[in-house]
Amino acid sequence: MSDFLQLLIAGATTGSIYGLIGLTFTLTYNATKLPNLALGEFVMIGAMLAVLTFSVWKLPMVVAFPFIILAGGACGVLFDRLVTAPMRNAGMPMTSQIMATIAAAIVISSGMAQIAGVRQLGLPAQFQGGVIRMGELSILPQNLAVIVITALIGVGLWLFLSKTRFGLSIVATGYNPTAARLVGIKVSHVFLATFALSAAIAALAGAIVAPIISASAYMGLNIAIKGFIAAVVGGMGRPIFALVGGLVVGICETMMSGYVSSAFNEVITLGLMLAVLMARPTGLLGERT
Amino acid sequence: MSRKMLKVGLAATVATVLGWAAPAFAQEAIKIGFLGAISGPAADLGRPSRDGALLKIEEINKAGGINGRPLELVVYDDESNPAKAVANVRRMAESDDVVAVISGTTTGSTLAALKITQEIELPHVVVVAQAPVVTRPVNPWTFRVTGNFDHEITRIAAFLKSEGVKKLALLKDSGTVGQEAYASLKPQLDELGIELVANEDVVINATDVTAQTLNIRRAEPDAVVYYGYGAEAALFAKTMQQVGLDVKAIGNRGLAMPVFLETGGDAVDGFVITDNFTATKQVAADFAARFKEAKGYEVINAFPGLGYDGIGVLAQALSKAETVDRPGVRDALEKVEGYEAVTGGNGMQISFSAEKHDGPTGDIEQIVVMRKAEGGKYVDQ
Repeated sequence: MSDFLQLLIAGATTGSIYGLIGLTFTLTYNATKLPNLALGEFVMIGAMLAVLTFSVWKLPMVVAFPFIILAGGACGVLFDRLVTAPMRNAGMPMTSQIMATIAAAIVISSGMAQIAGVRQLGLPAQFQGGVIRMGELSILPQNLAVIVITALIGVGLWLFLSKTRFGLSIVATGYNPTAARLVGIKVSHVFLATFALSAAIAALAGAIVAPIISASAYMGLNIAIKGFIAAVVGGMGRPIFALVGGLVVGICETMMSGYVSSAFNEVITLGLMLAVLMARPTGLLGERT
Repeated sequence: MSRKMLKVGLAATVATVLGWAAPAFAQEAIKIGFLGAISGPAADLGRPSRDGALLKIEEINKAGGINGRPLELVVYDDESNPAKAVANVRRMAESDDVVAVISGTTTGSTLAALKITQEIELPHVVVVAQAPVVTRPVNPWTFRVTGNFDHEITRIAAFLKSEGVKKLALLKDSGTVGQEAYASLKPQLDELGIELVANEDVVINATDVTAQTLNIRRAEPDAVVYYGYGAEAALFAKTMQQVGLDVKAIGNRGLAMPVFLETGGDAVDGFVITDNFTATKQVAADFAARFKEAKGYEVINAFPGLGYDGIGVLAQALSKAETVDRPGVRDALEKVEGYEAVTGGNGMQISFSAEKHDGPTGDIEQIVVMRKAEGGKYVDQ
């Protein structure tokens, strides 16, 4: 029983990472209908900035985290202004826009490799203080922080999107951009804001997972794929669905490794996604269309 | 997929060609191709081996070259992508007319490149890839400078025996490296009467290894062998500490990476690893000092030295070759004898023969050294 609970804690950590990245993917996808395949690069930027602020500059947490979040948001603004907005305004087909995000991803990761080098960089946990124990169960402070931060972001984003005027205008734009424009919503501002918010959260995600999986210029695509899977499994309807999707994938992965075999980890993740898509093409929680 | 295609296009344009204008030499340069993971996920091993190779070439040219001819290294990046390895090997053979190729890249890329070098009969010196299949069966055109998995596993098995281990757990990379390691380790364990009580896998970029660690704890081993790469191994060490799995841990050369020490912190203290480099030997320490001076970073693992030794054996072959062309270099490589390597332990030499294309020669303790992570450094055992 204690092994089961220990695996559940481990699955929740992995699932939170997947879910948090899935959530940022859904956020921009819902508003713009553009799958942003450069998303992983914002996670990468966050991870690399974590190495810079924590290991090199040795800034305190209260300075480093806001810096990373703001820098991530700024990258999102630049990304929208330089890559997606010009394509959108020129009325380019969606496939071209998707290709543009891929091209941007390659430029960003190669650029980072030029600036920071190509090697994997490790850094100590930001949340120190030794293993937290409850009876036979244990968790590392960093992993607990990942779970708590993910939960806070999930709740915060849900409140923002359902209770605030600007949040509602993001949702409205996602449903029907033309109607949104007609009722006076500045659609281009909404798009810009979702990219900024998505990139800021992705950068924070990168910063808190870097001590767990390390940071490198080429880490983006790998971690983004896990986020895409979380988003697809959970359903694209709302960002919070991606969190649920991430938890389902993470916990399934860990349980299978614990009770069946650790040899088929990735097969399980992708198999789970295919099974969900076949049974419910809109994801576990997405509305049927 | 489309990302990959774009990358192919991009890499074709950024593939770097490094050459030397050597006005001091009247004669034409001898061109050697270097195929390496210069960017991409395996760049941690490709770049240092390239830099080691460049250092040896600079030293040779400064000393007058090979029979009066300078050496020139033509560098191509394969991003550890086998398709790109194939394309670039063809390119250096055809457009650059290299006389031999050195490869500092992953096993997957190396195997893909080998098919081409064998087909077009181009001498190929492998400096990084450790899978036994690279030289098994022996191919006339393929030579290897680094110790392979069999060496590494034999050393690990001997170490387990000396530590009195009866029950062993294995945690391995879920890809080629892990499978090769298992295939090589299992028969040796059977021979030594060591029982394999757990056999777990870990994927690259894993975010968590709790499940594997709990399974290993339940099997109550005397020791754990970790076969894979540094980042995931550090995660395992931290998880061992977390769930209270307090046994001896031994890892392969893939753990000799800064990321292992940086991520692992004090959790990796005491982790024993195998390597093909030790600063306790004088030629290695001297090499490390020259490398630091020339390339601006520390030698912490075998990769810079492997690139250096790769050019070293080629230079010895070139200086004795009857004709400086591909068949001449190949024949001369088989006659390389007693090359004093900067890699390996004290007294390791590199020698080839018609039957033996794995260069490292000496006792197993000379080919593979054991080091230990301690206080954020690797210290010699």
